[in-house]
Amino acid sequence: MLLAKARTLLAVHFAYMMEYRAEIFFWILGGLVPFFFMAAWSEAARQGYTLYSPLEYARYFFAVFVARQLAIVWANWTFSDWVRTGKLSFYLLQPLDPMWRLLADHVGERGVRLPVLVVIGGVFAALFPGALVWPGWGALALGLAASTLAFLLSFFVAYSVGLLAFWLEDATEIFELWYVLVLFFSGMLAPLSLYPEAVQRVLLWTPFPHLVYLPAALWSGLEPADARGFAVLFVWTLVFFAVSRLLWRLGRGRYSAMGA
Amino acid sequence: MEYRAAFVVAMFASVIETAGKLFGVYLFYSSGFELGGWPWQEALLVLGFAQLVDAFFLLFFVPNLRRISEMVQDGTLDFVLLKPVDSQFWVSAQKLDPIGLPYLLLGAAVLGYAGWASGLGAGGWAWLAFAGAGAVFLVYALAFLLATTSIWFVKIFNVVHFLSSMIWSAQYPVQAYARPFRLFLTFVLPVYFMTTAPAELALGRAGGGAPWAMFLVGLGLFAFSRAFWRFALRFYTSASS
Amino acid sequence: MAAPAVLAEQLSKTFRVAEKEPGFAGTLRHFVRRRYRRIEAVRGVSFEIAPGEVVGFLGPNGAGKTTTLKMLTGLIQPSSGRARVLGRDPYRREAGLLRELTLVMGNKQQLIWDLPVLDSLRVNAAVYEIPWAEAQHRTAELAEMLGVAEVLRQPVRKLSLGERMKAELLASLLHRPRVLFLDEPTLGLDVNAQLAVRRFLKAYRERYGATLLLTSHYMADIEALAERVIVIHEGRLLYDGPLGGLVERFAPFKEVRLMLARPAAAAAFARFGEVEEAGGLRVRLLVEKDRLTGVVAELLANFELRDLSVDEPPLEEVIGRVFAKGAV
Repeated sequence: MLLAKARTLLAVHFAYMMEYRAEIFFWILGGLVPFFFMAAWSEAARQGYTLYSPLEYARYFFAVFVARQLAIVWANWTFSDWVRTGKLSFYLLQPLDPMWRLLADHVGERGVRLPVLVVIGGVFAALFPGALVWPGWGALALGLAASTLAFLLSFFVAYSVGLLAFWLEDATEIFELWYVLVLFFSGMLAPLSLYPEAVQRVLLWTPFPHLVYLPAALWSGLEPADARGFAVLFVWTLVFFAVSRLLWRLGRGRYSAMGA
Repeated sequence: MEYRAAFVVAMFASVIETAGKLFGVYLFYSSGFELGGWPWQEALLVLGFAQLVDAFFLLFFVPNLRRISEMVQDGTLDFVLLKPVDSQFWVSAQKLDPIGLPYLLLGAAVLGYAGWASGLGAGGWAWLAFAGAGAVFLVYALAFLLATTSIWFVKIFNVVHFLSSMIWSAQYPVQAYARPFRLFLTFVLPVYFMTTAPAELALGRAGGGAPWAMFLVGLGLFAFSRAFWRFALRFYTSASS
Repeated sequence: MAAPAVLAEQLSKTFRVAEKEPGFAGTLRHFVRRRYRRIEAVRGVSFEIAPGEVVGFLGPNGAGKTTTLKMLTGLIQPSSGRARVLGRDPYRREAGLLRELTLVMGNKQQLIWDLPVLDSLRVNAAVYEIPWAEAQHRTAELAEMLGVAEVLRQPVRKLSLGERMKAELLASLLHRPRVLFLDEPTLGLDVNAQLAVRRFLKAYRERYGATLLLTSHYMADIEALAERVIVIHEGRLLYDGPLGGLVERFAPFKEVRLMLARPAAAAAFARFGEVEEAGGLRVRLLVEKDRLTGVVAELLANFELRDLSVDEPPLEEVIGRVFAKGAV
């Protein structure tokens, strides 16, 4: 029965997301940030100033783009919306933890996003011939594993922030902080190998580099990726999963179900 | 403990973000590469403008624009339409979100330092203020334009995200990017006019006349946003049941 | 006595609401120092509902009805007191209990707006672990009872308000709950839809022996469905008993209707009781029961009448008086 539940939830959420195609398009456009950094770095590389060649930067930032697209989450927006408008009440009445609905929402959306990513990949390969190189099945699979873990971690962080809606009127700023940290420490700004040694060593224990840099490095073959990243990601995912369960238990008592 | 908590977090986030952006610039210049051939002091001017525009975006636009989307969803947009005051102004001027303040202060600090380090004269500072206002105006028009789409699209955060990304790409002088990107960020997305043009005006490098166009672009976008808003309202009123 | 289906024991709920003055100065002050108000929405409400009963839940807006329902369905946590449905605490959200109850809220909806009704039903069937074949069978049955079979394939946003409400009911009852909580189920519906919903609820209850607790502003709903009413006012229980008894207790009036041969001024009737309608040929009066005989005699003596009838007062009037009177 569990499988049937999962299948139905995903199918319906996929259909739901298809209705929002246009918005997803905007969302993907917003995710073009890595390409701007790529533009600046490849220009620097073209003039011979940095470590990698322009083509390598292109490859890296495309991998960053894909990694980022696969890890985008908005559970904080959705959940705080549910709390504010009282929609959560309907989900509380049903024998299913709302967390699964949120998860299905995201996974369903990935299904819609995937074909667009493939198209963008095609356009990219056409614009920058030689930039995209087949990483090999092993690296591809490992990268996907890292990317999945990155998604789960981001999801639980976002969900935890969303759960703060039981206490705070507006918790989006907290998620902004997370986003800013991700932006600067995940390898989106520049390949982390360019950062000072000391900074790199500290960052290793935080989840940030592994959210993007780990899969991106695996896919672009830039540097041998650090396997410890998997362990760090896994532990942090468990931590935030626990945090979200705790916040759910504590927060429910404060729910006033207004708006519905 | 609500807005206050968010405000404290915003202070942290703004410091990290500003520091991160500065670090990004440092990464480039420490390897000897000059962004678009600009000396680092002047590149910081562009960065300061980007932060300024971003701060205004957070301070004024985001809370009000979010409300448009909410009003469309709740159907309360009808009440706005009945108000004698111009609906666009009313919708956009209601709320102020203090969260943007730390970003504003830091942006102003960066601008101030960059202006001093670049040796701006009195005229330069005047241009800086004037062009800064122009940049804010341009972003307002753009933001409103995108917010109007919420009459069709239900969730506005995609659009906010898109605009934030645009502003993000504006932190480097547009000449730092490879040529095809430079063209894209001038003629497709008006990123050049947001930050690079004001910086050029302040530095007195308005030579080719290109930076002046920022005011034209701003006015054009504003006019378009008003027209689009009116169109959207007509669509809304005819579609609501 | 069998275990009650619904039990409320000294249920109370107090909300803490932040106060904020409008305008910029207010925002600043609110930012610096918070002020809170305590709102006691429900104060020590107790009652028991036996399985199979239909109980009307009455009270003016803001009386605490909806809050009580939310506590009984586990949506919010009581500040004090106990809520039990089928012997279990709804706040714990045990799957077994959630499968037995439902809350239907008038003009609020759970159906997915942009997708066909059937898609929402599929989700519900999966969530409640109803095999799809069985769910289809139930859907057909409920759809027939409600008269919405043709609209199920349409996106929810295309349905009229009446159709939407019926679809909502269908979705809420797909899992055949034994205990139904209904909060204004006929709100905003036209007369025909209201009748249809009333008939449906009656039929559902008869077929499945369900227990119903419903609130409504339409007295017709209460009169049609409920044998017993619970009245809440300002968070407190005011009355719990048969509907007829309510009239006895709070509004011992009768409604006297006259059809005059010649029009007479309203003032002419003022001394007989409360004038509801007058000035033309029709007159409606509310007369105290003790004075009834005397008043009727005087009316017959002093006016030329084409018709005279004595009826129970309209329930709206009665309820209005109950709330106006306040605490007993």
